[in-house]
Amino acid sequence: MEQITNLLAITLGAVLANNFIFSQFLGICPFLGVSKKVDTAVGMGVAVTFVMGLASAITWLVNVLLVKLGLEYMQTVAFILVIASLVQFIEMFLQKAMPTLYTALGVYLPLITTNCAVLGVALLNIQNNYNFIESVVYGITGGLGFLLAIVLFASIRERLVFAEYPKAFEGFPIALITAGLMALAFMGFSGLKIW
Amino acid sequence: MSNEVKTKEKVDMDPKYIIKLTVTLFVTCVIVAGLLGLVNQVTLPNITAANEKKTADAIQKVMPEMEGDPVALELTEAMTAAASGAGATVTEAYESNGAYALKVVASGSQGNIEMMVGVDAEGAVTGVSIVNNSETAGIGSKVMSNENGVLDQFIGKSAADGTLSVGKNVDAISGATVSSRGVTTGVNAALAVAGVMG
Amino acid sequence: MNLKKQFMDGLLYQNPVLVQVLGMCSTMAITTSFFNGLGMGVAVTVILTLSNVIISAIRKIVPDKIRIAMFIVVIAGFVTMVDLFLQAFVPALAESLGVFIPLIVVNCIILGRAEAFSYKNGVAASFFDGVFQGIGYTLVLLAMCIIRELLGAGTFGGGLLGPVNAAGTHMGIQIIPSQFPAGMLTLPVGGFLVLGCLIAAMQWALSKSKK
Repeated sequence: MEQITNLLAITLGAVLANNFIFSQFLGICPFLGVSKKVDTAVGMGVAVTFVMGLASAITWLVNVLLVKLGLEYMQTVAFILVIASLVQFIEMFLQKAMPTLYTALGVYLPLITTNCAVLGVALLNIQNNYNFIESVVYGITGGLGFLLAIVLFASIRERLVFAEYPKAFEGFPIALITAGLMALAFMGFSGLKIW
Repeated sequence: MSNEVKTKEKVDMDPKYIIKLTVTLFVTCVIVAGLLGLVNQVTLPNITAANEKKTADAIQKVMPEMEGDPVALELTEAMTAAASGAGATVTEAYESNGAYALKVVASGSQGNIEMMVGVDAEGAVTGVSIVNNSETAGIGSKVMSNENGVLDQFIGKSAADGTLSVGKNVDAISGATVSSRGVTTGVNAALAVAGVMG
Repeated sequence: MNLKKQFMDGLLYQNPVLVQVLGMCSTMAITTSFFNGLGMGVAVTVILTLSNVIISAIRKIVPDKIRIAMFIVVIAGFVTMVDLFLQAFVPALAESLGVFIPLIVVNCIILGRAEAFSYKNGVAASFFDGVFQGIGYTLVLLAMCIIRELLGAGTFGGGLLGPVNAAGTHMGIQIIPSQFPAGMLTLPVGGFLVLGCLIAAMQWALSKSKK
């Protein structure tokens, strides 16, 4: 029971209160880059969720190995290599086994290697002393939080086309201001606790 | 984007070339690992010393009547169970003159708060000091840096006060309820652990 | 090699944050106090310069197909070194930057410069590119820190100057009395808003200078 409450707390935190984008600033580059249309945003969000979940599981195991060997200082190098090869592997696998999914997600996959949310979740799992299940849950729900954020953001941005604002704000600045206002809204969740 | 091009070509490549790529990459990794090993050997004593100093400082802060060096204690099963019963984890325990300093980890608003809690021989809190946290700067960090004595209010509380809870017998800093709750949970856990240690 | 052009590019016309819009995560996340901004800026400048030099030096022997993987390994190596040195000699900074030090690995500025500049240019030019782009990044961080700290907490030089609080950190010099500042700016919201305004100002200035 306690384990379940704990996992629920992690989930709520990762999706809402400690959203990766709005409160931890992880994964901003794809968030701003791939959010001009809702359907591409969904694709990116799903791909990130998938990779974050898998990467959490694998890097957790890799870390156990590193600690056993006394090589904790190789953590960053090992994690980024694992993530890069994982992304490459998923891409090749999808290309061969599920061509339809590949055409949908394929273009986003290479971008994910340098998405700091993925490396970030791997490092945070270790920093927070999460066990294997907690790590995987944190990875997946963190990805879902990213999905929620990017889809909401993309739907606002689609409407921004019709808005009038000073010319200097065109492009990134207005996107950042919008994101800032959304971050303000998400801050409202920080008082949320389930017990 | 260049990654993309890479994979598509990789599928039909000459095995000799693949071996060459693998060897190059492997050699690079070995060189990097070797260099890092060297750097690690140079910096490790300093890092360990910095961490030990941090722990020692925290113990000193929460154990005002400490004499000599505190003795690190083995964690028993009862202690771990008592802490998790209160919703936190105990990671280290020190003893000096019948008083204890306990390092506990509780969850705050942004990940974990690691704190040192001093408990005297009578089972009353002698001090709370935050060792590590990632609370929001400007809000939760107010609790962490003991603004308005928010951490000092725990001094003197004991198991006799019942379970401490924010709003009832603990005051929170406005806007930082979650961080205050995290610290309170940690103190409760420390009191529970000290209780089973006798 | 044109030093003056590289210098102006790094600071203004091709500023990594304001014009190329790279490395946003760290720019917004850690710019809450002057000390953080300065530390992060210096760390990134050092790593960027080192990795630029090494990548430029090995560019002829790196097989084209695995260059990204090689870049990442080299960068991750330097990041870990800087991380270890900070933990050993400046623990206060290592603690307040936290997970954002290892995350320099995926800071797009470094990989971006490796791919766009040092893989195509000589060692000396890459060295200066690293230094100037790093300085450009640091200046933006400092600007963000100063604005957010001043308007958000009313202080200047947090982490470096001013009175020391109970936790042993410097609080900064109080410039605006503490009841006035808009605390919101030190929160995540402030990061987005301030950076948005800075980029807008940059776009305005650039469009003006073109005319």
